[in-house]
Amino acid sequence: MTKESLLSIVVPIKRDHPDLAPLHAAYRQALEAQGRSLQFIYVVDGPLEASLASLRTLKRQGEPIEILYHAHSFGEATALTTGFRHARGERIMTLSEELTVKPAELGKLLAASANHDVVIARRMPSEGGAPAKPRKFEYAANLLFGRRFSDLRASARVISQAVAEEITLYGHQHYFLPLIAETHGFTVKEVEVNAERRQRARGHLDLSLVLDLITAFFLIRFIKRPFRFFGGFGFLVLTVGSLITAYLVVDRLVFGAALVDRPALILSSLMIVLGIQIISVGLIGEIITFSFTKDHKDYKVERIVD
Amino acid sequence: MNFDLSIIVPLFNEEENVSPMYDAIRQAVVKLNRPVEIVFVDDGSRDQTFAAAEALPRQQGSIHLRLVKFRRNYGQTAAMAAGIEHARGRILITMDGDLQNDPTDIPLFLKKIEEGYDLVVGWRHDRQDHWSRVLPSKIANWLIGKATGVPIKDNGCSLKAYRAELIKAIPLYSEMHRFIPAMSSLAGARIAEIKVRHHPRKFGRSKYGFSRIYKVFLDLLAISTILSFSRRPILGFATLAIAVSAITFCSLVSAVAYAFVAPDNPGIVFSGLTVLSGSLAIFLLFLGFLSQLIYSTMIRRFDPFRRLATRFVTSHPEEHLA
Repeated sequence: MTKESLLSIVVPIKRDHPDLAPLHAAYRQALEAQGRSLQFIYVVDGPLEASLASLRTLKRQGEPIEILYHAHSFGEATALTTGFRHARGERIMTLSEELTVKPAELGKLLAASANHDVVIARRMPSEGGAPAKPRKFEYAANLLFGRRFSDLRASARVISQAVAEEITLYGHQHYFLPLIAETHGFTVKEVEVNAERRQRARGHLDLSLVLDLITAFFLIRFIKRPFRFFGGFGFLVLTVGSLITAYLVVDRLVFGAALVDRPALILSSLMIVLGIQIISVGLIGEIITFSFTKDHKDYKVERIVD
Repeated sequence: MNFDLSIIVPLFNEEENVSPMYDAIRQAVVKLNRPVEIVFVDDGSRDQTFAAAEALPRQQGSIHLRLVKFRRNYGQTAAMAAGIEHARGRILITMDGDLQNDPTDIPLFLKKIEEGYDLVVGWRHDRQDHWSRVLPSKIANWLIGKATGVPIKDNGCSLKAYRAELIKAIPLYSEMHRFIPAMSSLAGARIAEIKVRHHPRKFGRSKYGFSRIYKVFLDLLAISTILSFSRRPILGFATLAIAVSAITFCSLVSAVAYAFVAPDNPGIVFSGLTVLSGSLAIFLLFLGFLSQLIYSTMIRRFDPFRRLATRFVTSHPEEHLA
């Protein structure tokens, strides 16, 4: 069994399922047809008794699966990270705990993964279904990052071992994996696959998702140079505040307009204070980045030839 | 193995250039007749760059070839950092992989370093790019010169020579390579600048656009902070806090004076100013403590700057280097 032909499959389990055998059978059947040896890893995120029992039964029946278990729930991204740490394959496929993509279509993802570090699925409606509308989350993400991904939340992906080693996911960051991977210099490919059935459209953006979007934006764009973020904002606020204050002071000294009557003074002096605070905090951020940056180097050397 | 000189060349998709590059460097240094190491860093090229480099002779006369291969493309700064990390010479020279820099300039750089400079920077004095590229670059260089007190005319030039212990101590991340002269000058290095031949770029790609200037400004401020911080951790924030405290004190005096002189017209403006600047001063003071905390947990990370500024003094004026 060479490392190249081994495919690790990571399935995070976030809910209690009475019987996971049909799901496993479907995935296994579809992937065995690809002619690669498989390593199935199920990561149970939290005390989900039914799911665990069902997986245990599968294992007892001789299915070669690995079951990992979080004593309490950390979320999907962390479950994926746990799975990645145990994956031995050169390629790792992540799959959902529900059939969202037609298993027969998984081969397409695998085929594309030969040339790309990250392959993500774009779920297309099955025959007869209405075409999927662009969704708010993807719209917001694409707007922020200037990329064009139409289905960031599809859980069927294939990534290379290098990606798994280099990127640690937490929170909702699995949604941003393609974006994070691109900023790390990996190649990302979106492949259209047929969805299993009509997805329930999650129209709303919940608050934690919005926060994660903003966090990801900050981390992806500014992790190495935090001061560009803080400093940009800080100097903007400081400059506007200083200009207004200067205007008010000139107005007072030259034209004698009493400052006491001007609420604008409170605003402008507060802006100066805020600007200085943002800048100072940004400098602290830069010091933190600097202090810790050499511990995780920017690059990995594959080999040295003398 | 002891090498006098290591020449570091990052390569990204340069399969046709590898062999001419090697020959050009070899011809330039073979006359020196000293142990020289050429370090080619393959920055995750997708073409046959690495194969072309592997086909070159590993050892030819006094010239050794070392290849460093990245798993994927990480960018030029990372490639240079890796080359610097894995180079074994006492003196390091970095240059572009696309034959834009002229290897025949190498002996000049070597000579300058041996005159006692820590860093020699190339200056592309006859740059023939469009003004929209040259002007932003000039402004950025001027800014960097003002902030560091060392007016380097061309920070963007890849052709540079370093004393190995200096450059190995400077952390290179993000777009830090642009600030190597700035960082080393602030750390007390002696810097020389020499004119270099510059061949026109085959594929136009500008280092600075106008929008970049503010980034350079912000980066520069960040780097000066880190450097001053590495010397006296609390000084920066404390100075700021003291300055703001002075304002607070003045406005406090004014507010009190107002209350005595004109009891009907309470000094709202000055009381407001006192409260605001007072809170800012306290905030800054606590940030100073926070930075002190970071410093004490990560103290070894700031060691390079102390090492950079440390020199070994011998009786010979030229041998001030360890």
